[in-house]
Amino acid sequence: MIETRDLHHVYLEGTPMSAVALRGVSLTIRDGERVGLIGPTGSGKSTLVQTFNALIRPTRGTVFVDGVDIFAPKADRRRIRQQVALLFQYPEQQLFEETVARDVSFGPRNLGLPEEEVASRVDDALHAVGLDPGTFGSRSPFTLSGGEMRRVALAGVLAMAPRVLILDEPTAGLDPQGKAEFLRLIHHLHARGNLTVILITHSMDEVAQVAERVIVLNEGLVAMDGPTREVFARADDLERLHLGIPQTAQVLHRLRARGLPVRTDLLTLEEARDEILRVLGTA
Amino acid sequence: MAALDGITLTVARGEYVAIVGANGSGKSTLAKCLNALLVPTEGKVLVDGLDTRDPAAVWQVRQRVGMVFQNPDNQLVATVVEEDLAFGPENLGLPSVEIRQRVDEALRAVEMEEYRHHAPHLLSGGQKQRVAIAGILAMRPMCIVLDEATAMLDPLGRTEVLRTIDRLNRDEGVTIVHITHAMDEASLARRVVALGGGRVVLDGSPQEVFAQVEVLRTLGLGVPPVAALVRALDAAGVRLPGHPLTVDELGEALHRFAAARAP
Repeated sequence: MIETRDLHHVYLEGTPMSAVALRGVSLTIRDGERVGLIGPTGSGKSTLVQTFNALIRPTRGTVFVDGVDIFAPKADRRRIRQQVALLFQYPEQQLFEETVARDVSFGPRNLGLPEEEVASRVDDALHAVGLDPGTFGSRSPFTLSGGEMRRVALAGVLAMAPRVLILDEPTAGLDPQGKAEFLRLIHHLHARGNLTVILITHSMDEVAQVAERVIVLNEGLVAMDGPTREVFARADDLERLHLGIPQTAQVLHRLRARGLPVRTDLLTLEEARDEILRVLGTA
Repeated sequence: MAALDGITLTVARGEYVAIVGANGSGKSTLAKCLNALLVPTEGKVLVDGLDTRDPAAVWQVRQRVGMVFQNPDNQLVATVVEEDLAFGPENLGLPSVEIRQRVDEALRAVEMEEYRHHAPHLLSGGQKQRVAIAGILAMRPMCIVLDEATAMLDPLGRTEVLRTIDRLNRDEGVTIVHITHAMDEASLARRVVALGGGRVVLDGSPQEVFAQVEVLRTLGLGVPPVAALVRALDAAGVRLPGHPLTVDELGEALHRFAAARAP
């Protein structure tokens, strides 16, 4: 469980360049949740998630992971970073080793695990992202396609056996099929174990596909927080924040505005189709 | 490795073309061939009659075809917006009155006049991309090529950039080549070209191209969400005329469908 209490963060505080990123964020993310974190550029999303594993020390307030204050002087922040893993934007740019297997093994080896354990974690992680260790393990990461490289980067994170996986725009730059595959992979990883997933994205359609709960940040504050359906039903509020809603939900809102009595709290294509058919049948 | 494998394509002056394709389909290679950042190993590219293989023509080609790239932080050079815009025209050796006039016009065209004295690195992603577009406009190009220029932007930034290129095309007659992974963005163009394996696989109006669902799927592409919904409704017996592609078009079509069936 991750809990933040009155989190404030100011970059370069006390200088003319100071910029406020967080203005008092208090929220709780429970084990196993799938959370979509959305908000306009500069709303504080990236800053917030970097406090979750102590990459950024907030200027005020603190973060508890499983009840432990991670900014307390004696907190084991190495362990926290192993448990709460962050996959940055364009993570494939951080691949550096000569082979895929060595790259994925970098993290677990740094944990000081025995070599057999490292090897088995590398195998598991590559399997988990859909790359056969026998085929890919000995290849140079730089000979792979963009989508494969990104999966290697994810495997490197998974090899740390985290309990919380934070993904910052994980599908940016992938083509539609690559995006769909990556989102399926996230679902699969979540279903496999008690993994908490926090997804930062600008795509409302991706949020609708992955998240059961949506947290909206705006100007460093939580502007909305609730079940995905309920948040996306507040189209006007989201519009005001320039965020919008998934495209299928847009169609339903549009139809309703034109006098067709459809429900607007639906997210998937199948739900929208069935609702339109229902209303047309009775129209 | 062949990135492009025999592409024959003509983009006429004033067109607004979207180029779609999976990762590795050759989109970015094609884009770079359009302004001589790459020269084809076989075949040729003519820009306004200029052959990009001719070293003497390179600067004329680049003045005619400007590129906007994905990462807004990698393409701004100055510390003040208007100086960034002046960079290109200054390099052309234009008189300062002319430079000033071009900078003013370019800022107006992307609706960034009030930011002329701002520092580019403190702008939002969408604003940075509009400054990048303005920097190209100051060169008075015939054509702007956007290589996934909206991929890193938030929804507002995307809307700003898309509105800007649509307006430049409509009002100023600037040719737009928009390379994108977002099928909903591609559906805003007047023509869509789909690449696969370094070749042109589909080429037509957005309605024609996005009706080819199976072909797009084999290319690793999808259809815009609205087109997918239209297809699902079609399979369930609700046949809507005119291949709606946008939320507005679908809303309109369903409204008419419902009205026609009402007693």
